[in-house]
Amino acid sequence: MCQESMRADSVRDSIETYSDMVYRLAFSMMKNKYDADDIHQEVFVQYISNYHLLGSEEHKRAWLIRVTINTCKNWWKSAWKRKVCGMFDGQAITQQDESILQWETQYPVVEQIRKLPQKYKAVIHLFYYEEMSIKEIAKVLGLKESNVRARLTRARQKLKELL
Amino acid sequence: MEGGNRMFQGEYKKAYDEIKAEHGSVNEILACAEAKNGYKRKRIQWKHAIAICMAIISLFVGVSISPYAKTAKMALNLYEAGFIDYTSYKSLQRNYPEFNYGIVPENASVPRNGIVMTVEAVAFYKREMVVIFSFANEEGNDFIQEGGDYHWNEIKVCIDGEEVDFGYTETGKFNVENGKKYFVYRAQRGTARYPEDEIVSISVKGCFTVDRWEESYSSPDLALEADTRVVELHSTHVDEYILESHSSYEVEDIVKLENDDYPYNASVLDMIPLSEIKVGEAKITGAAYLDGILRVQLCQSANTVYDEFFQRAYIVRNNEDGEQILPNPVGQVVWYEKIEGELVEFREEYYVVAEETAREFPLVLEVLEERGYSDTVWNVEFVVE
Repeated sequence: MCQESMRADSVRDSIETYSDMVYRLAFSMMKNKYDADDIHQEVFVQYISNYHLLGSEEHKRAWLIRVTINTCKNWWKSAWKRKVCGMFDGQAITQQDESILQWETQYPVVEQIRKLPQKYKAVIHLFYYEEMSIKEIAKVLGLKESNVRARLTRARQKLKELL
Repeated sequence: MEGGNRMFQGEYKKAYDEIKAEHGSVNEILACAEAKNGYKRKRIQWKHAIAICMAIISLFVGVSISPYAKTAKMALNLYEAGFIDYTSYKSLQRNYPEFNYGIVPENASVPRNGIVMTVEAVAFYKREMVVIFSFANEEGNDFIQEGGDYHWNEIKVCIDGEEVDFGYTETGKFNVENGKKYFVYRAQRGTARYPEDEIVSISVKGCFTVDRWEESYSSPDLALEADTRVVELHSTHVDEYILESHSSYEVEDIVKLENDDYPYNASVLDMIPLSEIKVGEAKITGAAYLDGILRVQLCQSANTVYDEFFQRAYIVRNNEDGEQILPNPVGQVVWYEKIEGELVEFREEYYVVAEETAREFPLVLEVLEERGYSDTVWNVEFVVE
């Protein structure tokens, strides 16, 4: 029982430690906070099933980042979402929360980044917000470093065109 | 650009500092996980219980029954074969020592759209199973030269028609020796049995984006005289007509606007006939040093069908140490021509370069291409012996 309780505390601590990180990453890739909420919950439900397989804090963080990104991708690709959402320039438009619109208006750079294709958003967020190195991002996402570098370059180029 | 990046980062961080998960969400998550039975994991050591039962039974029947007779058929160590990385191997070893071994199905490959999926190994242990599969081109090599983005929206495994539920996914390590990328997926099965003589069906439905960088040395002789022609910059693309100046040059002098109304007309190099340009091919279509400005013109895909194909070409010039020496352009114009019924994007960029160095080192076109393969289904079936 004591062991159960210790495990529960450990899981709770991990969720509290990484909750904002997962939520921000999900939010950066989704169009609204409701979807980010769903992704956030889904990621940690998976975490609870698998936390015992994760070793160091570094491993946990990398795992959470990867699963968050994959869960976001699965969400976008699900047939149900395709039927429900309209398409514009390859990106789905969902209903925008007023507060999110106001938040975007305050930060024009962020507003433009949120218009970029999905694959750029994750790399931008991990590089500029989580301040991970190219090497770390490549390792977490399972990509080559040159690929990560290319995406950052392209993202900056697209941003330059949009701003 | 460095200063610009720092400002951008500052704004981005400030914005996302305001984004936080809601309070109370931890309790919701724990409740949800409990509801899905994902939180309480039985930690009973089944193998010890079975071993004890078998030992007792063997005393009565007088034969030696090993509870692991079926696992002895797992012949391939997944870690040694390079399918799983060391961290996964250690965590599996801690919890399921026999799980490190997998069976290798024969001829479990299926090609679709030029991409071959191969089920490399499958491992079963009690309620868990691991599927390791790889993707390669038809020559057996990784078809992604500079890395790519795989995504699949459905992986289905059935054993004799009964679907296995995948509750956890993990990407295995990239095997650099033969260029194939391995993927490791773990699932919890509904039944704890080794599927001997049963048909295992594995299907993957996915989509792939292949990123490719190419360097093509298209360095035409730098002309000191060149014909020009007038092109129309349509109002819908006037945002791409950049009049920003990174130097003291007046860009209007370079571009020679014909009038101030929409659409703008611009005078651009006329060095290669449109008939020599193929749709989908990026190339340098002209380079000239006129009036103290290096003008480079290129064409690339108009990227009208973004989901399937995206192409972006960049002009670079490297010195003998491989360092980029071309400065930022002081301006550019972008316009579109219809070739063979399709739109092709043209871009002319203007660089301030001293005449004595204008011919040093060739101009290089770097082409980035992304190809998206539409959803494809690969299905492999085999019998476990």
